[in-house]
Amino acid sequence: MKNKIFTSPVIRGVSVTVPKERLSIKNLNFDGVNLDEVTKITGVEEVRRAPKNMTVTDYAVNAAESLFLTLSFDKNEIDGIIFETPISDYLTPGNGYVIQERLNLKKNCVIVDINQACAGFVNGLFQASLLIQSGYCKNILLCAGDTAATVHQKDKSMQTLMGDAAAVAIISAGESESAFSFYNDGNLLKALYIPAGGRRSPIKHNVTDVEKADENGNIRTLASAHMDGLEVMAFAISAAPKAIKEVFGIMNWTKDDVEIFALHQASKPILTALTKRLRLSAEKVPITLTNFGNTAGASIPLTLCLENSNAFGKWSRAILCAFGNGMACAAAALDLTKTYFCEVHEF
Amino acid sequence: MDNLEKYKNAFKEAFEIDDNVITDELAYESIPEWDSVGHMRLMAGLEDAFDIMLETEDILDFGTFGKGKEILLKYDVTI
Repeated sequence: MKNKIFTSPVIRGVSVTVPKERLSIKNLNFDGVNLDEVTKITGVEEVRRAPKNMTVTDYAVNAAESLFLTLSFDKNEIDGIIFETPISDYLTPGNGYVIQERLNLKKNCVIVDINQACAGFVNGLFQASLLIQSGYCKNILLCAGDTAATVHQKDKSMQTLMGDAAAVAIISAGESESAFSFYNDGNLLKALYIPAGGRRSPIKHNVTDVEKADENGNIRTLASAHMDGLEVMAFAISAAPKAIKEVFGIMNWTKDDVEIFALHQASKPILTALTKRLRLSAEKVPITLTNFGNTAGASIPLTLCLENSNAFGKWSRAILCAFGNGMACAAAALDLTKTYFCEVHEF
Repeated sequence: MDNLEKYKNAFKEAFEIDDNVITDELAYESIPEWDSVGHMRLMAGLEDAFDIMLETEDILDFGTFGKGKEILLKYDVTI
């Protein structure tokens, strides 16, 4: 590794599974809210929603099995697991252990759990790259995603935006150059968080389950996800250009060298603002949230699979940039021509 | 076009409003057009007009037409 440039990790394949259950945003029911207008603003027309008995690990198992099959990859070669999601199946341990058990992966592998939402896939790629570059691991299974189960049913700002999905990738030792950069701001942690349910504020009947409306009429309890849309947008449009410019500096790239900017599909206004702010050509910035919504950590791999289905990547210079709770922002500069992108699966 | 004109134009284009609505007191959420999405349009328009990149805290502090003039001073833009 020289000057922060990784020289070994190669993403061999990416697979995404979404719930088969479709939910049209126009069919939601919020009193006095013009959902056509909401759809026009957010850009989200339809999302996938998991049934209550399904979690992100169910979809990750499906995505991983199909990736092993597609790549003819022997799962016994996996020596590292990274699972990124904000809410695991259990309070502890994290989902890395769940997926190890569900896929029957070997016991002497490294397991890393990352508690993060939208920025998690890129952060997970970074952690995988460290493990590969160090020589400690040869093949990492990275899983990322979430289901919107922590969003309150009466929270119109998030119910009209968030979709469910799980993405997996295999990162192996090989030869490829890549780099990462980060811009994180813990001062804004309350812009997107779940106040109760942890050690600081445990679940308490008649306290953490009391419904309360915010100034925009979104109803939440302390145990459901809270989002301050303006703070999230302000962070995203300010942080992403910084992270992207830093990673350009590491790789000595300019924006004209880049074939795709796969940005986190947060909402249409954020994608539009970032495209304008970075003065990018719109053709290089795919928008895939229309039929899937904001799928948190799965949104970038989902975008790549939709843009390059059932084929090796056509991008030798790709920028991935994700931002979300933390507030966290991570960017990656990658060669994706050795990466096989599977068709998006329904389960 | 002087800076004041550019500044007003950014508001008019972001919110599709007339000159007579624009005063120093015009504030975030004081008109339906200046909501969070309109705010992002305004920030993008100002960055384009003055070739600057606003920091997160300035985007969040940008609460009125008047306050915006103070914030832009930090970026060497005098209105």
